[in-house]
Amino acid sequence: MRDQARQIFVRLWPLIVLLATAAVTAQIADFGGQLLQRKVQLALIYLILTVALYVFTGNSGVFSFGTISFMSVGAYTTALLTIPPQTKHDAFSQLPHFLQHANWPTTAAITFGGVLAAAFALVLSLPLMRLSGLTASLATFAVLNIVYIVGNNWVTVTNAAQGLEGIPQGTTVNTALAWSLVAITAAYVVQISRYGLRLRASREDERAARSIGVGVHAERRLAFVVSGFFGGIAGGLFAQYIGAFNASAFYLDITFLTVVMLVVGGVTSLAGAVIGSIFISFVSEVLLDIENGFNVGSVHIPGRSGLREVILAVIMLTILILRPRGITDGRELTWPFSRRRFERFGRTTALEVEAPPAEAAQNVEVT
Amino acid sequence: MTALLLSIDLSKDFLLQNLVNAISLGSLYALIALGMALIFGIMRLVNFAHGDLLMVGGYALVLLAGPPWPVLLLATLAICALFALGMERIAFRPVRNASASTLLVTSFAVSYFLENGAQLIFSPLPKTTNISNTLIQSWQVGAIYIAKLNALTVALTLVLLALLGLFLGRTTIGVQMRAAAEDFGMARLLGVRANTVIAMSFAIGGLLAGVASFLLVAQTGAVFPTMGLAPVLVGFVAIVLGGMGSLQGAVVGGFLLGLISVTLQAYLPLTLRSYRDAFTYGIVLLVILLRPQGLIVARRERQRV
Amino acid sequence: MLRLENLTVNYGPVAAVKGITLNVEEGEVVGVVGPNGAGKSTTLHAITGVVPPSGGEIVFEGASIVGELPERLVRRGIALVPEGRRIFGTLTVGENLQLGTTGRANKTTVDDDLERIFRRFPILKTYIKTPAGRLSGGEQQQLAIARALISRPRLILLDEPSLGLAPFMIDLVFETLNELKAEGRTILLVEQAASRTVAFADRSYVLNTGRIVLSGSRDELAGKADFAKAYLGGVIA
Repeated sequence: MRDQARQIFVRLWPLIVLLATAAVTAQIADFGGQLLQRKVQLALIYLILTVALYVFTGNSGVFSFGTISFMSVGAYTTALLTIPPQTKHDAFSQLPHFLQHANWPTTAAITFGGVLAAAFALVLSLPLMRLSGLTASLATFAVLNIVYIVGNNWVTVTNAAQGLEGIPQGTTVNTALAWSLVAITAAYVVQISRYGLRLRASREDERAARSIGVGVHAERRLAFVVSGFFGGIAGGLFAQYIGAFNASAFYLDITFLTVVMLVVGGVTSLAGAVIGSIFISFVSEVLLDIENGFNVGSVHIPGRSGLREVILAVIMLTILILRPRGITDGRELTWPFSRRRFERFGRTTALEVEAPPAEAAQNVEVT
Repeated sequence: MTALLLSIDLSKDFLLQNLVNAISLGSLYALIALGMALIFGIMRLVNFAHGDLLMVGGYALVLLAGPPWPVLLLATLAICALFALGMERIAFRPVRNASASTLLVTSFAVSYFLENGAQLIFSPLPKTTNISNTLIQSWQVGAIYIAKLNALTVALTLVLLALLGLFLGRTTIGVQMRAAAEDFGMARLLGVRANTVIAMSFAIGGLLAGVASFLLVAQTGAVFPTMGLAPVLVGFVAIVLGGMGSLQGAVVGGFLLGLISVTLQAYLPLTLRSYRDAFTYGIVLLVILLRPQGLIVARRERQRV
Repeated sequence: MLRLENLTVNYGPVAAVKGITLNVEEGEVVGVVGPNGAGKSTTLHAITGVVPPSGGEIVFEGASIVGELPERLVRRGIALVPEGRRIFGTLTVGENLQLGTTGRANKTTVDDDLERIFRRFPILKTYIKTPAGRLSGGEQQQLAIARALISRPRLILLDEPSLGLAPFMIDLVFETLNELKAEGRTILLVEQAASRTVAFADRSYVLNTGRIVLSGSRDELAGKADFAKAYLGGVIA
């Protein structure tokens, strides 16, 4: 009985650590005023976004550029549902009737945004999951572009390039934290489920997996849809964080930032997603301050725009070249006193990592 | 409805002028796509930083302003080729054996680094430069204007295509590159040096980008950090449409895109014009899903039994 | 000439080759047979540097070649005729042969060697300008062997040359192999066609699930045909 409880505890330990990490990060907000609160909110939103990216990319090995499209869908949905009808009447008179009068409570709107994004992901997954790694990535890149262009031009719904404004800023540190905890837990559940395990086994060698009949389409679909849901959630939270936006907010810059967070943290581990996003959020803040120029004593050192991105790019390239599995080395934070150890084998690169469980391994035939 | 129809100019002169523009633009796109296809064929790398070679060439032209244009052209293509080689050596060689997705992400990082680096060094605002006063002059043929630059663009493109064809077909290293593009592992087992072949593909890609850069800057006169973004997206689309890895496909794809772009811009009703790119990506998706080998039909080789 | 000592090769967590020891002396013809999944091809992949060994040693002409880049092996004198031929379909027959000369130190005698190859495989001369993808399976196999020969190898590795070929084609292939054997070439032949290989080679090893379960000379193994069947699980060609 005691042994069973201990086993469960060891199993859940990685999840507990990450949930605690998120909670602790949120507490930082208590040490500052409004500005710090907002920064922590944004960091948590990015955390959800990175976890969303991880759920699909980390498990399947396929880099998806679609996460930001899902964010876009969620953001626009939430915005349209929560902007006060009066504002909509005044500023966006071209909106369809049912949207004009919509006035949803925050949580419902954000959740619905996630659901809509997940539905979008489901529809996309039907044709896309058949594709192999690189072509799937490129297809998601095409999707990103399409969503961006539509968002930037659809006058009636998205107000084209002008974008939406007047969104009530209902996001707080607590709501962002709550959603992050949900996201982390969901990602963990997917990962340790049967589907997640099969997906990770196929990541090792797609051809080998296919040759023994592991067709991972259904598993990928699940991961993709979950990824879509939380991408949408992040979008909704972001909409209510920032108050006004247009489609450019969901294009290459934020895609790059998310990718940096995951790669630096470790593409193949949930811990990587969480730690990577927090680390990069922090570094990014510091760099932003430097970029704006700072004072050393009475001397003002002027900043230069572009510095932050350059350094982030350098960090990412350094990790890709020197420590491709990221800060976490592609592993979860396991209970340090456990007797189980994963086997390491040879030098691998960012996306090919980790020993899949023994049962999956024995099925792989070799000539 | 009639209003829409009236906005389409169906005159012959308009058509011909657009044709001239289309061929010019298509040549530019073809050069970029070709460079990307060359690298992709051998390394399975979609190099998003390829467009930034254009930017590098652009800033080189800004800094070198003064000499006559043939000198500038040669300087640009040398600089871009060197830059491409540097890119390969520093960023891509260490991750060479990684998955195609990792390579993609690496190229993303390189691109970001270069674009923001340029922003840091040169400022985000565009810089202007005038390459040559002679090239901007045009000949008038009937109601159509053919700029000398247009003629140069087409001429250079044709010459480069011919040279590349000869290089790949007749030289030893050209044969090695073609073999590597078909079966890299086997080529290595026969003694083909991976470093040599990859470096060569980057150098040639850089050279082509350098020429494209020169032509682009000669036309627009403006250089800014993100000027490589649109071309690289075009290159990506061209490669997919032409069949990934197929060099002829990339060239044809590039030309097609130039044609489509100019045609849609000229003839699409105003309301749909901004969606032009969305249509293009939609077509890309369809091609990826339905005909991944590309739109261009390759010569079918029947096997002897 | 070639010695494998306790070679182990893992694909991830799966052990494909579990500590095998074999050797090939100069002028010998050695066969490696076994059922599908036995680890035969993996062994060749390890020798040619395509897959890194997880343990053990590979020594060629006195020097360890573990970790050697694949492109350097042909310069050391190892040529591979790979599984599935892997000829370059979009290149002409002539260009395929040209590629075979890439690793040669001495390029001056290429023409003479080419003449000899054309005498052995006249069909290649006929189709010298044809894209190699148009050739039949048997002709491609000839090309693959020719391509290996023109690099002037000291050791020829063949990975399942009979795979996918019609019976009379297989006869042709073994005819060529016999000629090479008569010339005193050093050959390591990996094959599924067990009895033919054992009869052809001077010595053979029998592999099963990554281990050597039987080995011996042609005469020794001939007497053990039934014994071999048990180890091979009844798969004898």
